[in-house]
Amino acid sequence: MEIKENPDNYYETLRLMGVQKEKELNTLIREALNNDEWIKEASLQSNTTAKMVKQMQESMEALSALGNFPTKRDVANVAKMQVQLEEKIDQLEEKLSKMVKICKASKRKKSKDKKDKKKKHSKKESGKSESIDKLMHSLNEGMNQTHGKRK
Amino acid sequence: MEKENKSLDIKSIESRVALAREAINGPLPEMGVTKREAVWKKNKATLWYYPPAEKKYRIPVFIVYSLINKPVILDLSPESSMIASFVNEGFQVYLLDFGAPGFEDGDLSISGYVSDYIQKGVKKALRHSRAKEITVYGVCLGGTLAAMYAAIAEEPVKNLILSTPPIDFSHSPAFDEWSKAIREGNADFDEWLDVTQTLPGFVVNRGLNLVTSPIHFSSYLALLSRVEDPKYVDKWRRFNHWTRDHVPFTGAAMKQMMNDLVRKNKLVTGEIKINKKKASLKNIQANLLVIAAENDFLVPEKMIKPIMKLVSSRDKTYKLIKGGHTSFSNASMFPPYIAEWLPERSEPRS
Repeated sequence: MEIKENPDNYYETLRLMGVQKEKELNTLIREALNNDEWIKEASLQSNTTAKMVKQMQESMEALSALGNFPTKRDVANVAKMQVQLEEKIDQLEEKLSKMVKICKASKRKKSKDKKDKKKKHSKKESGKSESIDKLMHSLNEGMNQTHGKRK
Repeated sequence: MEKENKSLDIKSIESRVALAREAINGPLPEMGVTKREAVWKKNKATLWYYPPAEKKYRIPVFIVYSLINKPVILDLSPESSMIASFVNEGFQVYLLDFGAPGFEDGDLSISGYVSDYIQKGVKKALRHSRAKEITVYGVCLGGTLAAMYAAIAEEPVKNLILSTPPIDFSHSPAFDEWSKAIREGNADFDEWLDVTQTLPGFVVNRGLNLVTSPIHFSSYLALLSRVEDPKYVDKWRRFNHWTRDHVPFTGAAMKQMMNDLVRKNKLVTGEIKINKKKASLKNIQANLLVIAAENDFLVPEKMIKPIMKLVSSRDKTYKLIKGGHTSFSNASMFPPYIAEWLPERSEPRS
């Protein structure tokens, strides 16, 4: 009988060991970097480099004016104008949708008023027919009475 | 009886390594597969609409994702898609994808993202869905933005869900000396940010790795150990691609994060302003669900929980769930803590 160990177990053990080692190494690195001196140095270096890069950018701007070529700032300005355009279209769309809402509401009100008017009119008509009915009824009664007397 | 087992020899190791290499370098499967349509575009941002097959709730869900990664994590594959799980439950879903900012967007601050993108996006979603109210769901830094928006919202936000949102910046997940230096004004990177305008994606990636895991190889060992499981490999590849695919971060947003949030903790003190309006968390009255993860090294519970005492919401729930920072984003099913909270607050259609 031959029993061979499953290699999956080796890989799983390797993974677990890797997780442990990774954790230890990362803690070490984080502790080393979490240092006041490093931070001050990084801040100082970033400011110094920023000044140099800014100077370089200004020089490129000056050169672009002479050489008549666009810089990244020019392209950015065009892109910003496009965003402004989009915002204006959005505003217009919003206004339009408000107007459509108002139009729909007034249309609904108008049709409601029309219906109300029709109702009132039909009420009036029904009132008239009612009074005619009453009149006819009393006329009939009167006729019946006079006919009865004659008989 | 003979047990049939593979032995650990050079050939088997080589074949495993070859499979792992293929998984790492091979063409990527398609991601973001849930059916969607763009309903609004502005600059690089897109508002996506995911229609449900059958609309079961009157209140749609508006998702705000982080500024650091791509929101494709919410729709990695049909088997692990948070968005698909909402859609399958019958929710109308809107996702605001901020896109990748460029040099020209350098002056786009956190406040700008809230007022010019989130607020306008919510308006568009309300109009598109014809709903009377909306649920805003913020994930990670998107949760911070969603909370800021809810504090100034004029729109009818009925429910606010915040998943692992950094709120209280007086606690730092790592590098406490760095945070202390920023707070005390001993470290200042504003000038550098003004010059570069945007932090490129790879810098954001390295920076985040530095906080969470400066050296990272355990995921490759995990791949090696399960390389013969095609389902695991497929998910691993998608997730691995997402973790490396960071988007640039605008200089103004980074400056505001460092100065207003880390240095002055203005979200907690209620001093942060958006369009000259104070975005005090006290203004939040929407039903609130806050989710934190037990093993979240990036945004620990200490940075999240204080929001519960800062809002005015009467209906508020806090959930501490097992898992890490991204566990909730690539869920394979409708998360149970959402299932027991959201549907009854979303006006089910009878």
